[in-house]
Amino acid sequence: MGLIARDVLLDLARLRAGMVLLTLVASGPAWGDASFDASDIRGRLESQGFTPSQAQAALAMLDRADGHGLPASTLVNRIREGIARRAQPSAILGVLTDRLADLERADEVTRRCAKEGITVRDRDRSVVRLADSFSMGVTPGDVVTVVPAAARTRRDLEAVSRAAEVMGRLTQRGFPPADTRDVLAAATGAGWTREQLDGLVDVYTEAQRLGVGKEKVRQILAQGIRDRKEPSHLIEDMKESTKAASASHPSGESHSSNSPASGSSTSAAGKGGKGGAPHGAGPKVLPHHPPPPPPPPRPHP
Amino acid sequence: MASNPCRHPIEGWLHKKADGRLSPEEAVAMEQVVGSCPACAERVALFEWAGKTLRGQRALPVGFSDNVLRRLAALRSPGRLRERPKTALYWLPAAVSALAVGLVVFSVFIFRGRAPLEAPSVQVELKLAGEKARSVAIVGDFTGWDAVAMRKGEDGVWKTRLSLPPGRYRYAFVVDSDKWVADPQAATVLDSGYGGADSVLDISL
Repeated sequence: MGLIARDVLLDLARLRAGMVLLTLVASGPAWGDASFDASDIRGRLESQGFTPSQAQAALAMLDRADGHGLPASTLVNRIREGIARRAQPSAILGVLTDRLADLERADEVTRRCAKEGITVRDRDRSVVRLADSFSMGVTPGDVVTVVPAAARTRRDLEAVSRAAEVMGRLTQRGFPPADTRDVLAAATGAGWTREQLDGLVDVYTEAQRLGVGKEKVRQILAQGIRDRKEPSHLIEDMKESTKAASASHPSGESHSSNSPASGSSTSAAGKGGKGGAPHGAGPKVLPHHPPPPPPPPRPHP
Repeated sequence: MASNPCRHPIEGWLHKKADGRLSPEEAVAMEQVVGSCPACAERVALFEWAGKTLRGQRALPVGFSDNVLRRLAALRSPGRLRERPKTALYWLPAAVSALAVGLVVFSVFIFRGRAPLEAPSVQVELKLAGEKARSVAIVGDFTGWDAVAMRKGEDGVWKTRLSLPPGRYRYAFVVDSDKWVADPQAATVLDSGYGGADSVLDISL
């Protein structure tokens, strides 16, 4: 019996070897399409004054990205950009290091999304978009806030990454993720399109210009998203809210308090009664998560 | 072999006779027993017939015994003792290998020298307005970060038209060959890490 079992195992091993060979052959046409040409990159680097060890370090990062299934071409592009900008080798290596770290964090978020049942399409581009959002000050923890809503409403990874990108843009304009991620999660869960998400930047900017408090902004946006309003209508809501606040505080008292109760008596007034809740019974405020830890310091090249 | 029912020591005498070791006394005694005992006579006759038959065979080839022993030793190897199971599983690796070889040949002949399937491209126009520049070029992932000159329109706006497959690209404008600026119309602008900013172009179908 033992001998027979051993031979059966040998046959299975041969079968597995055959399947591996078949897979390799099936991917044969891709063999020549490496994501980067190591000798070409090495030549470019050394012609720019990279020492052999610096060039090797850069290639090792490309290899690492390739080995993890990350789009190494984005790193190659950063090298080309650095060369075009006549950056020092150490600066280029610093950029590569940061970029690789962002890509790896994006990859972790992508795996988390897949684990939560979110469909992963056009993975490379979404990973790059997530990595870009990290470079704008968004953290993986901020992005994970969007994941449950996206999973619940069957949004894909692209939707999550676009929400992260908008979060990053808002961060650049002075709206930290802690103030925007719940709104973006709600918008993602509500099926907002790319254009609608992009419009949120204008809404926040307009709210800031009007002096609407951030908690009030959250309330108006939460209600507006539930009511399926367009971002342009949300801006109108902001303006209405400001007018109402001015009317109720004729002395010019500020209405930009961060208190959830402040200004809620005038929220979304004039929109068919929607959201025009009395004091203390306003629109449901989206859950407020504690702010995530700040992004790790990025070394200056 | 049948036993001798008469209890005469005929078996021992027969073996000695065959080996040439039968003494004269034993030969006389054997003659007497064979003459008086039909069973012993029949036994002797059978033995002599067998001897004659064996001596009539052809001689075995030289090394016959060694060959037989060597083959027996080989048969003791565990992997050779059983028959192969006559299942499809046994032939599958061979079939897979044959298919793999076929695919190699197919790949080489079909895909060699052929460009990968091209994704449909999208026409994009990038502009830089308000620049009193002598020249403006565009650099980006889509140009390999080599400068590509832009044209100045009659309205004073620098323009370039690109045909790009869907993707996410970083780019910048280079004014008068040395001043790098981000696209003020781009929705996303990123720190390049090199002391400037990159604009992002995200193209979907």
